[in-house]
Amino acid sequence: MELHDFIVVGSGCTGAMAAQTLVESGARVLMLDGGKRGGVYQSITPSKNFPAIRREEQDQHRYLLGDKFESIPAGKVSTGEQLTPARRFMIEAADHFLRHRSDTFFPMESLGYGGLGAGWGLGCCVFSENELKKAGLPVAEMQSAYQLVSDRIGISGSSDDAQAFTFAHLEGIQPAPRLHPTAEKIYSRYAAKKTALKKNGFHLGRPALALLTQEKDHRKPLDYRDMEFYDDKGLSAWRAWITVDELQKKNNFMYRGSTLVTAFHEENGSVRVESLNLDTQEKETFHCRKLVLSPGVLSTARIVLRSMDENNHRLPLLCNPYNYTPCLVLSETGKSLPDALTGMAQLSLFHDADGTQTDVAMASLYNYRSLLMFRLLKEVPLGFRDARMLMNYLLPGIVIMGIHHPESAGGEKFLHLEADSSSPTGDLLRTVYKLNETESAKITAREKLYAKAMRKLGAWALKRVSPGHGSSIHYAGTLPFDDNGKPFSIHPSGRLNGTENVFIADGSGFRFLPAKGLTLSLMANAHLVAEKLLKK
Amino acid sequence: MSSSPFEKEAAVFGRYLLRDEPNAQSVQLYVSAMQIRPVNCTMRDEKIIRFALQNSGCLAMIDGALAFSKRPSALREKMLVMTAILETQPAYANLFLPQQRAAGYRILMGFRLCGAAFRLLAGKMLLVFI
Ligand SMILES: Cc1cc2nc3c(=O)[nH]c(=O)nc-3n(C[C@H](O)[C@H](O)[C@H](O)COP(=O)(O)OP(=O)(O)OC[C@H]3O[C@@H](n4cnc5c(N)ncnc54)[C@H](O)[C@@H]3O)c2cc1C
Repeated sequence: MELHDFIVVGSGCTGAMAAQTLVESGARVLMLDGGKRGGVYQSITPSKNFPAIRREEQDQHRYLLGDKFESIPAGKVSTGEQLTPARRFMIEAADHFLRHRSDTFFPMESLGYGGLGAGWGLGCCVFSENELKKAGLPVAEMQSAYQLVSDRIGISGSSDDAQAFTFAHLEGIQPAPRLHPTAEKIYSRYAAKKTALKKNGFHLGRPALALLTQEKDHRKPLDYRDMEFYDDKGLSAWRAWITVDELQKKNNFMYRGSTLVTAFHEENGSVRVESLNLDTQEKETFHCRKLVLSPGVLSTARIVLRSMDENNHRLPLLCNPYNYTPCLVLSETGKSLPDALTGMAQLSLFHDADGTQTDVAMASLYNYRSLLMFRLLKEVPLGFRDARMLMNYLLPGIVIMGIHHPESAGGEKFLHLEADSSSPTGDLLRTVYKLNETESAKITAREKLYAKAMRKLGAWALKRVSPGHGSSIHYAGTLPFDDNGKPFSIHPSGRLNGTENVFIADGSGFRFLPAKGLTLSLMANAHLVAEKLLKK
Repeated sequence: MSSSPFEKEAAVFGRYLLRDEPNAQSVQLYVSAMQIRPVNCTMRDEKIIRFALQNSGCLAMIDGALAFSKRPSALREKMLVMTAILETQPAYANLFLPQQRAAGYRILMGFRLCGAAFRLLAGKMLLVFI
């Protein structure tokens, strides 16, 4: 029986950061991971920019739609619909091995190499002091951890009115990418209207993105091909697997894919880790001194509930409510677009009504081109031919505003395990998620304010789309931080209360979920968990 | 199901969407798409599709009415697949990529929208009889 010093579960953003901290200190680490890989579509995507591909490449349907046409949505708007063929490996096999049922909650989970971090939107925000306190995270330690993570992954942004909400005091931030002409228009309009908007709590600026605009290590600056949703050429966008690829070059790191960790058991000062081989479906066992769980909040919940033999125990759940609204900047319609663009978020509009950075909502503004027009056409209340002509004219002036709302614990939001004989693990995770009336009313009121603010910026909100609960893909709070040793909670050190050697490095402990993208905070927390573990 | 009904669908949908014959690759891709990921049809859907294929001149009206009603529709699901395929054909790229338009184009768009509203109303009436 081989006894590993550390086993880290998951190669997503949190697993990658925790493992990097451990490996860099010289510790020996085994990473167990779902490890599904993509790559086929990326390898056939040419190095041209998006318009050139569209005009010249006969085989473009393969990487734009998928060989099985898997990227053409069927039926209602759903979580994951926006994933392009190249990113779909992230969710491959998750339906089968990470069984989930709910009438109201539709999450996205990954068994991919690099996790959801293989296709995330790159938006990085530091939580404010108030947000950190509400989430139960240590303020000073998180602030230095943010800097360390930022130095590792590389972040671009701009010193403008959004800075206090995005990268705040972080140093070494690269310049923000060039703006899309329509976003440029909104940005300059904001400059003229900002006094009134700020009085109403709105702050607009460039988002901080894990996207290089200058060379860093072996990674190239953004090439403006507008192909970020389809390939990772030049590695300008940070993906979790980039870090894991680098770790695999070190002698003290071992990676094992196709492994589904199902449970753990503590025995004689060490941890026995049970798993299922995803290819053969055979059971496998590993042993370690310390186990670091970072397979994503829902996966962690399954593993913990199984290990504690508490199937019926209900765990709370946090997930940012999310809706999006296409908006129209009339003056920009009927124009051609420059070939060189980026499809990533152009602007961020924060709403901080009382100016304390405690209850902030965040809207990300995207321009629309490389995700293809047909996805929009099905939402237009006109026949496809009329809709195509109309959208062809309107498209340059379309801005998609995706609004994330903060979420506090409480209400009818919980999950538990249920037996399911058809599942490879013999169980499934059932989630109940309902917003109460006060929460729903607050969201609606806030979105009206957003529509009003956008009108001031010259953009008219067209139609609010609710993709359903779970679609924000921001999950947390299942095992809330607690320093009194309560069962089903995490000690501030990251240790799972009730265990001695099991640590949790994903967002399971967050007691509050700010609306700002959580992933930079997840990574900072994962680093801290690993660092504290090393000090032990 | 043999591929020929799908070929017919592709040809009819393509002609409607492009106002021109779709190229051979689009037709062939549509046939593959329908074989790989068939669209589930209710009896009502089948009736509507049959009618639309036999009376392709009415397709714009039926499509408009179904789009406006926002109810799930197998006909629209099939046409979405054809639209996606056409969008990824270099030959039709300019129909989908934004173009610089003259100021007067807005007036043309206005006329088109009036036409679309008329088609929608006509489609709604047609659907009552199908
Ligand atoms: C399209 C999209 C856009 C997004 N945009 C943003 C954004 O702009 N900003 C932001 O902050 N966040 C964004 N997110 C969310 C962000 O991706 C997640 O918060 C983040 O990736 C979570 O990281 P994680 O490591 O906790 O979990 P995951 O990314 O879910 O990684 C889990 C890892 O664990 C492995 N795994 C899972 N279960 C098991 C198991 N039982 N055994 C072994 N291995 C297992 C998986 O293979 C995977 O490697 C976005 C997500 C998506 C999908």
